[in-house]
Amino acid sequence: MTALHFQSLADAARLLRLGAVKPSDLVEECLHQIGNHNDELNAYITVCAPEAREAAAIADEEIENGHWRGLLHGIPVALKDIYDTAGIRTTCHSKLFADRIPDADCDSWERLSGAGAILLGKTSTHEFATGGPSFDLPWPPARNPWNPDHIPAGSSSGSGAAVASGMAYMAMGSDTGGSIRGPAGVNGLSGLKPTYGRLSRRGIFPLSWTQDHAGPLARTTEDCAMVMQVLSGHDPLDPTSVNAAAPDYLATLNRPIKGMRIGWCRDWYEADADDSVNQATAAMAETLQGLGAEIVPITLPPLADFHACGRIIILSEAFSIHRRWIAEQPEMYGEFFRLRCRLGAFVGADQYLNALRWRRELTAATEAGMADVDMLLTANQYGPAETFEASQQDYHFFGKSSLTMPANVTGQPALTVRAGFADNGLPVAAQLIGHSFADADVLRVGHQFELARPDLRTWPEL
Amino acid sequence: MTTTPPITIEAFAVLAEQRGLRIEDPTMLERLYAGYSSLQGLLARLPAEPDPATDPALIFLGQGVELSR
Repeated sequence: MTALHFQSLADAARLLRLGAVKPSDLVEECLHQIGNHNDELNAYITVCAPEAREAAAIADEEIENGHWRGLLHGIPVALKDIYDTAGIRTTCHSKLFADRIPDADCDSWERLSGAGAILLGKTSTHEFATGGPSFDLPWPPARNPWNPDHIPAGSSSGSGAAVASGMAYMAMGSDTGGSIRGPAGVNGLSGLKPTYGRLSRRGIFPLSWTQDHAGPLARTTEDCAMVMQVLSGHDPLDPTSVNAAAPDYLATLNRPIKGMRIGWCRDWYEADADDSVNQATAAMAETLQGLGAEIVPITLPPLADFHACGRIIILSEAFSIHRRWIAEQPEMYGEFFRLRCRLGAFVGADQYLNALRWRRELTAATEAGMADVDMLLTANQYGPAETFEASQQDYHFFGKSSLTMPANVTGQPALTVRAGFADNGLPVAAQLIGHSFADADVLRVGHQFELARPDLRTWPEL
Repeated sequence: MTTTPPITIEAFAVLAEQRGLRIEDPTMLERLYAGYSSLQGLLARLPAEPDPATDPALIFLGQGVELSR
């Protein structure tokens, strides 16, 4: 029997509907986990226990009286600490913003709270979503619940650690080069980077305007679909928010995937990945084939092109955002952030614009390469989570090319799902990348895969 | 990824100052210089002569949606 704090969001919602549990039960369960494990895992920077209990008491009464606010009524969730919350400190995990209290909620929290979700707190992140894992910031870095000597990846590190340790039923992250999918992958979660423009970024502190995405990290793909159902919709106050009808993600989730064509992009990872990743991704291809999908080989532009293009854009835009502060008060940032952000000062305007134009070409080439398939299957990372010792590099992005960067460059939806385990017991993951605005397709395939592999649904012993 | 530095660290220090950066100490300068050297490898991958008709502000996302980003 799965412990209540490790139930999926969808199962918790079903229990609420059945009257088997109350919102206050779920909140207390998560607060119990936070109380027992946050000092070690550092998943949260700010825990809103009194506010969560108050909201739960109201939700208890509303639900008892049959007044359902929405799909997430009574579900305790967390937000990465770059998501603005009115009256609640939003630090970006930086000394620079240590006392910053926003006046207004971000769009995501407006929609989540409108659907009845309860805020447990704000999760740790790499500083301003790029400078970590760092030990010279006001709060320590989050740790991986599967083994605290290992990183939970980043930058949505606390969101990954919180959900994988039962401290929340879902946490929001942001993804500019893989910051939802990295933590989802190494923490054994499902994480969706939606199509660019599908979710509003209003009120989320930017790292790179043209590549930032909001999205959920959760224990199952079905959970991600429920969150997408709530969050999708045009936000007239975010100029990048698409004014197009959102699909019903839940309606298609249980449709068979028989006949779908999935391009298996092995060139990007096979030579450099651990055996565990190669085996898990191959096993996933086999499972999908067993479900009736057709798996076909596919070749796309080199991964290194996406990596270079995306990183040049991120460096330029991040430096533009922080230029004044980092020039005038560099001591307010950690060393990793200072080093990484300052590199943007050395990208010329012509180089930045060329990278933007290159991005358009890479997007077109990817769409053309995917013309005959419904989506891609590829690895999420090269191996399981590395140790903290191995992670202390000034520039993590000058190593192997990022497997998550292509979908940031093209804007396509990309779902991370747990695909297996490495020999050291840490989870490894694969990635499904769909056509733009076909978020529902990747959710459907991910959900069907998870249903076919219930053996993969275990949780860390804390 | 390490590439041959295109300039000396002394010239780089001048360039950093011209860019408005105030580097705290020689160690940070060395670490930033190492990053600058590696950055050249990424910049070298940029297409040499992109098509002038490719507008950097637009991106076609499929399903008839064209975004300005």
